[in-house]
Amino acid sequence: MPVKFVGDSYDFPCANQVENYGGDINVYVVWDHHLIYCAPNTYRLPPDMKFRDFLEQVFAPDYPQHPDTDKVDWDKGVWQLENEPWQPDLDKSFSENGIAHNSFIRVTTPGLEGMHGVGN
Amino acid sequence: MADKPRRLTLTRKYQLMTRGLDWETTYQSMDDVFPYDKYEGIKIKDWDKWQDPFRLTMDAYWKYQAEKERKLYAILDGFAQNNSQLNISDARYMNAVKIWMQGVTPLEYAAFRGFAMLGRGFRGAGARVACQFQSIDEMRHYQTQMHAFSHYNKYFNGFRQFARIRDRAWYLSIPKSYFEDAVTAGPFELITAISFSFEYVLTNLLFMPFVSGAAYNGDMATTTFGFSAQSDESRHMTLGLEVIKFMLEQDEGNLPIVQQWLDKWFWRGYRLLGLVGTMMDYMLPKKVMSWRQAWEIYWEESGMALFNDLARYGLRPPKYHEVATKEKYRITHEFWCTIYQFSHATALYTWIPTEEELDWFSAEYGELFDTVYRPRYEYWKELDDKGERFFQKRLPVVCNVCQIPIFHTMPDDPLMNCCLVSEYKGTKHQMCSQGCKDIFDREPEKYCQAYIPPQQIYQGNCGGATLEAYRKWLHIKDEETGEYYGSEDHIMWEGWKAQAGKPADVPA
Repeated sequence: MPVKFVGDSYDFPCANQVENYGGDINVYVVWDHHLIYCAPNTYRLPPDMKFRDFLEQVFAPDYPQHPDTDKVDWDKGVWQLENEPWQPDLDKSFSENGIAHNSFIRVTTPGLEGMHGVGN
Repeated sequence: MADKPRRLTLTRKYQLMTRGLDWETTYQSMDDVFPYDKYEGIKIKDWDKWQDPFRLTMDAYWKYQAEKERKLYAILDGFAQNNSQLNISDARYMNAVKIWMQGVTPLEYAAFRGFAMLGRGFRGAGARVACQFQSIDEMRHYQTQMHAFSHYNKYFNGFRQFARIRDRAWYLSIPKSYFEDAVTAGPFELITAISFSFEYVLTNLLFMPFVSGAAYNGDMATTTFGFSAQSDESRHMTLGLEVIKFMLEQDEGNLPIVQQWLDKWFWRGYRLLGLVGTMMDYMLPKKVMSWRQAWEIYWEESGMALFNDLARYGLRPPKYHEVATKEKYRITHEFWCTIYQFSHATALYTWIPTEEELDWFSAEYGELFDTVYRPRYEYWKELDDKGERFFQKRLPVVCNVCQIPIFHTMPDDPLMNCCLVSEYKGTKHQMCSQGCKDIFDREPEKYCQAYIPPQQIYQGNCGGATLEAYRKWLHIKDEETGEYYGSEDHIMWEGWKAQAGKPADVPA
């Protein structure tokens, strides 16, 4: 059921539309089972950035106090895009991998599943 | 000889004020005079069927309120003169008061505005009058809280610029957006959201823990305004129930609209109360009851009993209440872990619970706490002991509806973040739960406009793209944020405690 309103129309742009990012995109990424970091992270990135560069230079350093971070091998990651199974090519860019503005990416790393046996 | 004028009875006065003095307009159409009370689709056949059990009149109202004000301010004066800030259980407690002042007190002001709108918006005079009284109440609550807390502002950090951070800070966009969602709806949805869903159904989860928590923790200022607000609150609750019954009795077509609002506002209210539950579990050094226990008493028992009573009107319990019940073992711990790691971007202090408190959590929350959260806290404590206090530097994803960072986990898997996606106008939006996703999907035109802090930070609207720049934009000073132990509040408190019991410094 759409919104009910007074007047002739009710039409506003999305506050987080891609037009507001000056050519960049907004991307959400979570390394599952590392819940000492409480939530998926948010990034503003150029869409032609290579996915591997992002993972190694931007994403992994965001988990600095986790003992798994030094051991991680992203080539062994199991991936999801918008909560659906997905296989990225790490050596291609975001846009070549079909990662669009506001995409949500999850990765699990078998063998590196957090601390205490509960994904901490 | 002329008859001596007789005084009117209270009942007659109320009758005149809510019925007799109102009239059907003729120069202008009633629809032009009251342009907003039909578009939501609620049909009212006879406004005179409105029943207000309190039947309050103006003179009675001023008399009661003046009496309460006199008592309140006498106690607040005594509180200040006796340096009663020294009587609180521990300076960590003060952070519960800071959250209240930063997050909840501004809602009282927002409620004053909202009810002033309703006091003009309904075409039934009985409903208008009840809303006008409530509007004045809400302004009074805003003021009494402000006055009660102003004493703490002389000593503790975190109070001084509540209005600015209320508008800007990410964690305060949770209560702010909740109320703004309500006041930008139509009048019937607004009153359903605030008077029924919040004040009737969920208020016990807000006021009980906060006011009894204050009493337990020696905070006489808060306890006193709590009691001073109590009789107003019971009037507000009665209004909430009356509104629901009135809408449902007036037209059977109102039922599906009301049900949808209850589904929405139960979920929004529950998400908001997660913050209160966290305050209750973690920020009260002397515990009243756990969130789990409060949820069981005030929702699983009382809330469900209420919905059993309402079943005769065709209402069912709100959607996803079972999910909320599943989350009772984890929601406050997930929330505290989040505030703990982002407290360098708040005007609050956070800390790892003491050993004794961890034992209390284990007893209250059982296995999930012992296997997941306790080892997490112990790990953070180890880092802290090494001088590597754990902070998260990267901005989190925030739910496009409740505006809470998506720390929430899946209903049946407390070890996996839950992040759901809806697309509208070619833009994807993230939500923390099916409850919030349903709200978005019903009115995407509305929620696509949401001002979500991390998105706005990255768009360049909040001072810069780093947490440091953002904090500067919030005007939060280094000394009023981050870890409690070693903070200015902590050092001052320890100094006071060290002085206590020593003989007064009398000159020879």
